[in-house]
Amino acid sequence: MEQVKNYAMALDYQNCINCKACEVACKEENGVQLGADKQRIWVGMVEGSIFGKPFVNLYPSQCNHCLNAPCVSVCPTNASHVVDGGIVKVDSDKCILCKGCMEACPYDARFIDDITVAVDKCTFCDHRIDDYGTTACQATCPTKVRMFGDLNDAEGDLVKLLKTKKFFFQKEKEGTLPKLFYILPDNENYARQSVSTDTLIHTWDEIAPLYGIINEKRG
Amino acid sequence: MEIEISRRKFLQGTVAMSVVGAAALSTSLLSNNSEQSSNAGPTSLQNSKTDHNNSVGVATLCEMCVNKCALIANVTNGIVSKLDPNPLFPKSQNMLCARGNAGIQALYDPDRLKYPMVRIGEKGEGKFKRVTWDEAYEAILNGTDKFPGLAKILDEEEDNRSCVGYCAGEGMAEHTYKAFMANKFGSTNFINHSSICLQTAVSGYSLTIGGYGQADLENAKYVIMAGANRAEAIVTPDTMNLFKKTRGRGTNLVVVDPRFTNTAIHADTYVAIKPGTDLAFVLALTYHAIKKEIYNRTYVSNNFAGFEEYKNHILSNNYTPAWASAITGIPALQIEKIAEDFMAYAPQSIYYQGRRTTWGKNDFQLRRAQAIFTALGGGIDIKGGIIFGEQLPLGEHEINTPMYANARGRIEKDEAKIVGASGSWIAWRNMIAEERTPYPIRSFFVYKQNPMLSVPNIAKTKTMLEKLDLVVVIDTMPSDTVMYADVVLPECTYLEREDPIKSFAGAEPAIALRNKVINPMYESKPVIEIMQGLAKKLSKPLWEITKKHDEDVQEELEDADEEEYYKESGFDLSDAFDHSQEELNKHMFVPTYGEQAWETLRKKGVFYPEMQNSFKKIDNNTYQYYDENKKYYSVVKLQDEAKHEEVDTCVNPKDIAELKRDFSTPSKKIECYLESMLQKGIDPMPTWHEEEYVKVPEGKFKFITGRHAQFTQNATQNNTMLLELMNENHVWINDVEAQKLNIKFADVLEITSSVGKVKIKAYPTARIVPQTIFYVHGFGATSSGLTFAHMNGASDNQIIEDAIEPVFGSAIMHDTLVSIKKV
Amino acid sequence: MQKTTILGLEFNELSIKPFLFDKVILFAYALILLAFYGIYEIINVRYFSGAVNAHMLALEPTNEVFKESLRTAVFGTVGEVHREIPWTLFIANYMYMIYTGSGIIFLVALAELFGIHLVAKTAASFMVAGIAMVFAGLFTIATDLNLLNMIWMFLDPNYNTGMWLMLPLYSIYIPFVLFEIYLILTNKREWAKKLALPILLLSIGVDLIEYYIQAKLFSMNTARHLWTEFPALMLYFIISAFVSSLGVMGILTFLVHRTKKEYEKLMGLIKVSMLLFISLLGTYEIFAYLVVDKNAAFIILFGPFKAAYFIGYIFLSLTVPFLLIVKTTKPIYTLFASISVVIGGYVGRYLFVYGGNANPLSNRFGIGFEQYDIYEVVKTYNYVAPHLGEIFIVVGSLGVAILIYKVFDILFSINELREH
Repeated sequence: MEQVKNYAMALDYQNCINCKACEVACKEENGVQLGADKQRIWVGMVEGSIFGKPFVNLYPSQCNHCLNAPCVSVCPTNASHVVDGGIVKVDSDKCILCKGCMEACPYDARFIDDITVAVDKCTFCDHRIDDYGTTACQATCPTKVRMFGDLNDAEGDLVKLLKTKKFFFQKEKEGTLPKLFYILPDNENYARQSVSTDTLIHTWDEIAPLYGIINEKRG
Repeated sequence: MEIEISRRKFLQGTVAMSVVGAAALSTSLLSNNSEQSSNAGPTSLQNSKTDHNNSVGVATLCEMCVNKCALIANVTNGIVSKLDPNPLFPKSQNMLCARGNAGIQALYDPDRLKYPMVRIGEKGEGKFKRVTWDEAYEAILNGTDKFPGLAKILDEEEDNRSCVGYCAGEGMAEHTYKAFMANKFGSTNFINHSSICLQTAVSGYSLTIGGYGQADLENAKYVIMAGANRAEAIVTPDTMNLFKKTRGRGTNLVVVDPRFTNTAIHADTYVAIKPGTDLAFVLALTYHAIKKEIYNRTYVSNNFAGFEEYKNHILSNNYTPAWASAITGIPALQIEKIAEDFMAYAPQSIYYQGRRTTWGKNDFQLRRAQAIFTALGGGIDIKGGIIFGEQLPLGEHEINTPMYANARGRIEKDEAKIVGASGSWIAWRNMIAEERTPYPIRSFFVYKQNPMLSVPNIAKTKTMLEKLDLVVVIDTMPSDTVMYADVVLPECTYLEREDPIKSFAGAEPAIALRNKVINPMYESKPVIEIMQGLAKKLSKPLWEITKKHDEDVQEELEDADEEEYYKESGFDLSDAFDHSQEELNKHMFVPTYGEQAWETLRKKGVFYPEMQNSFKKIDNNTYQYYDENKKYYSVVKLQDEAKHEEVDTCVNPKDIAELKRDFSTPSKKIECYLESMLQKGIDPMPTWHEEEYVKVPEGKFKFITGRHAQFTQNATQNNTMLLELMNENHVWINDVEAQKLNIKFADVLEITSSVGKVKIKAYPTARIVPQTIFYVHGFGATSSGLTFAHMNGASDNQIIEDAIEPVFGSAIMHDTLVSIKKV
Repeated sequence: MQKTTILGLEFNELSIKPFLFDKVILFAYALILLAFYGIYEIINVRYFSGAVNAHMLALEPTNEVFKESLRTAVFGTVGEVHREIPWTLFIANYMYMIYTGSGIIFLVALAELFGIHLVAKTAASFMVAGIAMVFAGLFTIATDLNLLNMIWMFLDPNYNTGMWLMLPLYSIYIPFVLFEIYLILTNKREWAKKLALPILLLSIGVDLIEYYIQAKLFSMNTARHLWTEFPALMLYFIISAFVSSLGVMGILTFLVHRTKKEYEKLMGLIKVSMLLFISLLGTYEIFAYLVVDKNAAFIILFGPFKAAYFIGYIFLSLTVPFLLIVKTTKPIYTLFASISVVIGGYVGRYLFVYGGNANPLSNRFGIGFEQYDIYEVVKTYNYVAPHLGEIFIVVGSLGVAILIYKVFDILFSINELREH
């Protein structure tokens, strides 16, 4: 029997140079409305300084495709729904524009596409996974920030990567079980400047059960 | 993409059309909407994802900038729907940047030049008449009532072919254009981007270490990047290699820049420097390395020429870190630490060469000093240093070149010490604008360049273009330069043509091919076909003029058959274009690599002999192109080959010092002292001249320019996908100074230099040093043919003064003083 | 006056004239006309504006409409909804109208439960005012939703969402209230009396359920933390609604009952109730701001919303009315207090919606707000002013409420006091 897929993404955001290739690739791949704010994916930039030394952090981001997605549970018509692979999608024909999901999403990952007159968001490029094995944003990235993959595939690139790294999530306290895994820099100085003091740091072995990952030993 | 009709389509029309009404008239010729408009029936306005199941992938090469990344174009029903990176190409390593992705918008730009046009209004007015290709060629040959043709001009100039100047932007078909203009037509007055780009850096490095080389950022451990901005001015593979290793992951990056760029974000050490003082910084690094004897002494004694002179020069001039500190604004201790760290990591230490480089008068010397400093650590021709790599051979295409006795030499050859075959843009233009050419320049052919926006001091470029009798522009877009054209010839974009095959040098060399993805739209043509058509039209009539004025030809014709001589001596201009690009490419490739490799190249877009042995996918992000031991890191010939066996620089890189190399310089060594330069009156060694440094008086600012990763010079200024990322440029000004001047974000400032003024919105930021302002190049077009770029933001060349550095005549970009005023 | 009786309901003489020329009706029409302009604008933006995606130009590169749409996309602003502030004045107005309206109905029920005879006599006018406001609220929200897809509320319901529960809620609530009004207006008094208690209890139950579902709707999300969590939110909705409901009742009493002898007594009753609920609301506000998300609270209390909060809300809906009525019993002061709480209550709803969205969600990593574009200023709070069409619709919704009330009055003379 084929195992159920649980798609997720790791972001080695230290690589990001804010070139915005991912944003354009996303719009070209998915025909996203132009002119809308931020659209499906974006790069956030935070400026700051530690002891007078300026720093800038770049955080490429998109929908977290949460396991416990608040946007899905508030949708009155099931327009927001979860498809195979644990991908959160919007059926634009069913959307009544109540915008409850936009209010519910703690990550501001949703917007209104004025062409479909419906809420729109990242789909993890689910239409091209079979052909390409990855999303448009990962494929096009010059410095290879993203690693898309299946959390249930112990031999997959994603899990192999996550096993070697520490990582953290956005707004973990919201309890949404987000699936964008931000890879913590090994270097302490860079880790300190890009993570808040109360951000929880995780390892694969400790987080896997929470994400419903089937224990490998039992097969 | 899905072809669906949504209700929106039907609802949409009326409302928006009423908005358009007024704007439609003025640019009607440039954007005729009835013609050629649609090759697909009903339009999908749905949120339409790319349909990969019904699309064909064509492997080709990008041309949104100069890097030429490999890509696969998805074509659905004859429409290019998505561009994906092609993982097979070692140079671009499975990536496509924002501009690469937005190539579709360049192809389908509504403002594209769609058919040949001839000027009917005044110069610069932008009024054209649509003509056929033949009418356009005819206008070039015989002129119209508005302008004279080549026949008249050449007759008046007695067949001095050089009275027709020509320029070209960088591109794979530049050679095709030159084959006609230089070889067949016979003009010497060629100018290209070099003198407004990387001339000084290429020459500085070549004359010092034997080549410009390539920084092996994949393996370097310490990199000083001064002025270069690889996060925003993307260069493959440098950008990809570097930023996977910065931030404590193997490469120590020092960024020296007046701006805290996106590259500086990744720097372990960011050094804010006053613009124009880089040479003092490098000299001080050199001083400290020499004084402390922390450089690789064995390497220097084995591989340097003129080191003693250089050492004495540096020490006797007291180029101390303290001295440099006063000039650059960088603490002396920091300079010392950088020099020490650099040498500690050497030879895997690089002072990065940089590309668009000419900042000040001393730029050539600055690049020399950088090269020598890198060499002091031994980091030349070694893994992790500056490498020269290998280039896979390709066959050649011979051209039967005629000789024109009356064609004279370039006009600006004495304007700088060494004016090369690609000329000095500013000097060349200024001579024409100021009417001081040794003979008249009457006509100008422009291909894939937009000198109106790309050469400092736009007012003078305008004057030049107005003085010329016949300006012919070959381009894809109605640029500002097109507005000054007499004849406009529409080239197709890179997705609509096959270009000359190209071999890419590097540690992992490969050959790549730009395949045609779709047929040319409208009436546009690739440049090879344009040249062919033009050559056929011009050949016979111009031959008559040559016969009339060229005494050598007259003499030789006395005992030769005219038709035979005409053909055999190359006066038949069209014979260079008898073969299609496809045939030429095959001819250049197959004899060396065979038919099967040709099939691979055609289908996959990339070929290198090692491909079948070494290429493998590691994961979705990573591919291996060459086995590590097959890469071309060290390629320079050794004086003692046998010794190479004993010395393994992989184990101890510093052992590179044991090997004596034959560098491609006259002395076969790293050249510290250039005797040949001394004879021309140029410093033989990098020297700081205080008087050359432009100081910034109180109340003034020094203007610097540069790049953002979303735009390529001014070629992408009308690209909606890129404009959406950043829809206009802003001027950076130090936030403390801005506060004093009461300048807030988005306030409109008027910036005035001695040559012009612009209006632009302010961006006060801590990310720029005081007394300096910056805005990105590639905005401020005035062409009415550009819907989106027209009057959007400000052009840097409107205010940059037209000064040149004395060695090559390259444009000095960072010495302009400006004043600012809130409006 | 001529009367016609249908199903026990006495209709006044049916003539078209008052529906066309009555001054109040004309005023309502004028307001509704504004709303229609607003609706036109909304529909225009939503369905007719030129929106483009990356693929359109490829299909028709020289299409001038696309070109203009692209220009707007690149240089202008597109779309009707700003992603940081998905809920806007529509929601504020919806909340105000629905809660205040059902608050009135709830209060009438409570009054009857406590056997306050005076309220029973004026119940018809109050109940109709209440249901008219509910309709005004629904009118507002209908323009905000994409009605073209509403069919999916029936075809694929997600039962457990506050949003979906609105559908059965109002499908039951509105007919139920109309039935109550029917019982009040009908002549079958004996029959009504028998049903009085069960209807009353049911009515209170329905009112409670209504606020329960509303609270569920607004506390559904984990993001907008200004909104105190469910079930405390239900309490807040009821108390704050009662304050503005009493305001509306005060104004209504002045407008339609001031010539009657019960006027002063009625106003006195409203005054006492208002004092009670103002005190409760004041207490609630103090404690609420101690527990809500501190970032959102900070923006409200000390940030760009502080003027609206302290002057618009606290001052108008708490301080002013309290000072006006705490010592005097003159009806005119109760009227002023009523006007004050009606405005203050509105500002409160406005703050609830806009304040709930004010704290940018972009501090996603806990080290500061993000910017998305190099040439922009980092947003430390979100605010987008409602556009004109939206304001017109809100004004028009008031017209809807007035129209419904007046139509009832023309047909049934609800302004008259009745015994039952």
